Amino acid sequence: MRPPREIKGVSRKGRATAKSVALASVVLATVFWSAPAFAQEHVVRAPLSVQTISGDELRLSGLTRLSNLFIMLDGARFTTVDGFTTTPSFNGLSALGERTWRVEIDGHSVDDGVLDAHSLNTLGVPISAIDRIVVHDVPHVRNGRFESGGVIEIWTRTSENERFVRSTVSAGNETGDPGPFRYTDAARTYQNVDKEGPDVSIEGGLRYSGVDLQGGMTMNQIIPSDPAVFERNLDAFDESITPVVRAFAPFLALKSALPNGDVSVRVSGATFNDMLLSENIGREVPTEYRRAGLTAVANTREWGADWRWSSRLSKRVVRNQESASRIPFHWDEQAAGASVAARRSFGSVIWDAGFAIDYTGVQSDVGLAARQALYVARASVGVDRRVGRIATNTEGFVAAGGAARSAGIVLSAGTAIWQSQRIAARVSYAGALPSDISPMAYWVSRGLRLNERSTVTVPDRLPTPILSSADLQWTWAPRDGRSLQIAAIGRNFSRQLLPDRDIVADTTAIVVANLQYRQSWGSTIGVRARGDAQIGRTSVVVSYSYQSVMQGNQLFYDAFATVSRRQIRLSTVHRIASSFAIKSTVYHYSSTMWPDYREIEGQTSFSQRVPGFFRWDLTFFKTLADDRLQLTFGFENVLNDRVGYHPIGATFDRTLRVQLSLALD
Amino acid sequence: MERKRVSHTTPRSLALVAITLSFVTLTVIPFGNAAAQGREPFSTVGISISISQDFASSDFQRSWDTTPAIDVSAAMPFYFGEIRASVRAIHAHSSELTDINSAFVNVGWGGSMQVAGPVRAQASLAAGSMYMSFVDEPVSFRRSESELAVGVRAGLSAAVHSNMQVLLWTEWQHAFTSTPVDFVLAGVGFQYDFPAPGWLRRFLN
Repeated sequence: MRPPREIKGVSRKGRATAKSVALASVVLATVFWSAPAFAQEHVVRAPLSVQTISGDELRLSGLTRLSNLFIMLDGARFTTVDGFTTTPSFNGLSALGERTWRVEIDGHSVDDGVLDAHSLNTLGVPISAIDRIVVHDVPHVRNGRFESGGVIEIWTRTSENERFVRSTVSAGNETGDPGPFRYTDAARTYQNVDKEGPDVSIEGGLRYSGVDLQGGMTMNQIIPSDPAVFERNLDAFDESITPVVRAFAPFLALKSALPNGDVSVRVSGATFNDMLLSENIGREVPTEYRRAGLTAVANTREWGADWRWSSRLSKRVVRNQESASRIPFHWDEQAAGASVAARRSFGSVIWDAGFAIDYTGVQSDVGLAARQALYVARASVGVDRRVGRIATNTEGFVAAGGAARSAGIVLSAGTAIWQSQRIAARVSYAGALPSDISPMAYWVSRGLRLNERSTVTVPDRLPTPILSSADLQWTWAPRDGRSLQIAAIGRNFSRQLLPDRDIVADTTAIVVANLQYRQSWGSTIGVRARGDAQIGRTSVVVSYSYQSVMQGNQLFYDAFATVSRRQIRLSTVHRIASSFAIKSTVYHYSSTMWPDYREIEGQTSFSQRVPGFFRWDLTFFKTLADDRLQLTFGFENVLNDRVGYHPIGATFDRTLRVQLSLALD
Repeated sequence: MERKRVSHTTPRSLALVAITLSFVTLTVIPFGNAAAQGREPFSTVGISISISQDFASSDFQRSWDTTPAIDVSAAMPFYFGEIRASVRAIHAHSSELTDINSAFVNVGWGGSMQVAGPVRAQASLAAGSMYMSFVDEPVSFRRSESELAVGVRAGLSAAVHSNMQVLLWTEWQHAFTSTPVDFVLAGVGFQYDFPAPGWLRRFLN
């Protein structure tokens, strides 16, 4: 993604459910030393495999929450029930609901949830703090770990000044409230619809003797009370409750430059209550987690190599009270990990080597023994070299965890061809640890039970899932602001563990029944294309993505039927003045099918088919007071198409969002 | 509180007139010659006060009688055309249902062109939030509500002094409640223009 031109600065109102669904907290601490040379890109990457969205672009888009990021990514599909917890699928690398993708903040691996409930909003990263977000969406190896499902890198920014304070307040209101017609028979509904916010973030920082110290917090709130959710709650909760989702996440970060590298420490926490739904194991499983980490990198000149060492500690707790979900559940997880990696050049050949070990211990008050432990060891090696005009990269890894073993290799090559054109290819063949791909299935195999009446089964012996991938891409990028990229994508999955479920709706609840993890196999193919152009003060991006199942068993077809086949995005940014811009984006997602929800058909108003939609967003962005203030008016889904992502989820009608940011530095 | 049965008709004819007038004017106005062109953005401020009456006969008006609306707005030259921040207050009365106080807080953008002598044609689009307070609602959390609303406006202005204008306008205001709340307003007012103070220009630029 080409960096944008720089722009200045850039109810049922009332009763929340008394039945607390979730309570979660997060503590994250990380120390990180990085040598700049270590962070350099591999010489060969399929160009579409890395997407970069600058912080200015995020803010210009009126993005108020990180969980809304996915719709801005090419080739990424996502689903959300409540607009707050979000599950993506990157570039055909997984079905929705599989937790194969990973998140990093300033180079540290972090968790935005546990098991199947995730929200980037719990990471405590204000939009105002983001320098850029880099998304890798092809299989690759990094720091000893095989990344089979994509990686989201969030890089935060610092201020050039010694002290700074930034704060953002935003709120959104969805149209369709009954208004005064509540008092008449002309009302088409008597329920208020979704209301977002107020969302608040504040961060501040100071620099002293080369040390940057930053702290802040994010606070998000959503009242998903549109008719779809309201009717669903009537089915699920016996009464017409209005859920409220609230998340509060403070953070503290320290960065410093040392002679041999950089240091950064990050500590954050979050409380997350009344999270409405998770997607996979019965929408009611809430999350609570704590996590801490330590990472280090330094440059040892006597070896002529950059090396990096890291370690982390984490603790996550999930508590789901017996109430709304009727799935009493308690999950307490501690994790620790360490890794070391080195990078060294021998002439034109660059070697990467890494080793990592992770420990995870869990206990649950239902089913699991007092404590279960999982140890995972990983090692990897990578070689960058140039063969004539062709740059090549080879990555290999081995891993062992529990009783499982895995290994794999990633090969990529690329070269410039005629007149500003490049061609690149990447193939991979790798087995993955079941605990990485299906943590839920892994722990169920170790004895986890959600509650006394849940029936979750897994195969007697967990298989090693194997992913084969092939990406071929052609790029034309003359240096005049235009570019065109076309990629063909193939994926083959074998021995994948996928959930086979019955989603049952009766008069008292919508619950997951008969959850079975079964082996599946299949292949997908896809095409991605993207064009960029700069026309005067207007920049235009057009992207198209298509993916389809070519072959597979029924479970595989069903899993990928939930992933939208076609995705189109047309985005234009008009920079009318240095302090004023208008952004218009049209999205199209094709329809999806959710066969698991067959039991709902005929019993409720929800259908297993989620219709496709066109969504037009319009954002006006103005900076004031020498860029100290940023004012954003965002109109989402202007044409009020029926935008929804999940059969039992909310629909997102026309919405007005207003955001005001203050930056004092 | 009793619910009153009303029909689902919209103020099609009057709204159509307002919308057509507005779009025709906006289309006809060559913004290269708009009044704001040639003026520095945010160089002047025009404070206006108008009084208007709702002439719509939609679902809303079948249940509520509207009193004259008061508009207060501030307009400034923008990069193209003119930008305006406004507040419009309307009170609606019903003998059977609750009384309603509403305020349409909005930001608008438009332009103007000279028609003849001191007379200029104006047109603008506005969007904002319509806040409604239900005076007689006994349940506290239902006493107020807000909803996205838009306005399409067309009118004439005539300079009566070097910095004073008389305004004559009509506007269609539409709130996106599940059953829309529509107003078709015809208003008269005056606008006073003066140079923007330096601190305000610096703030907005």
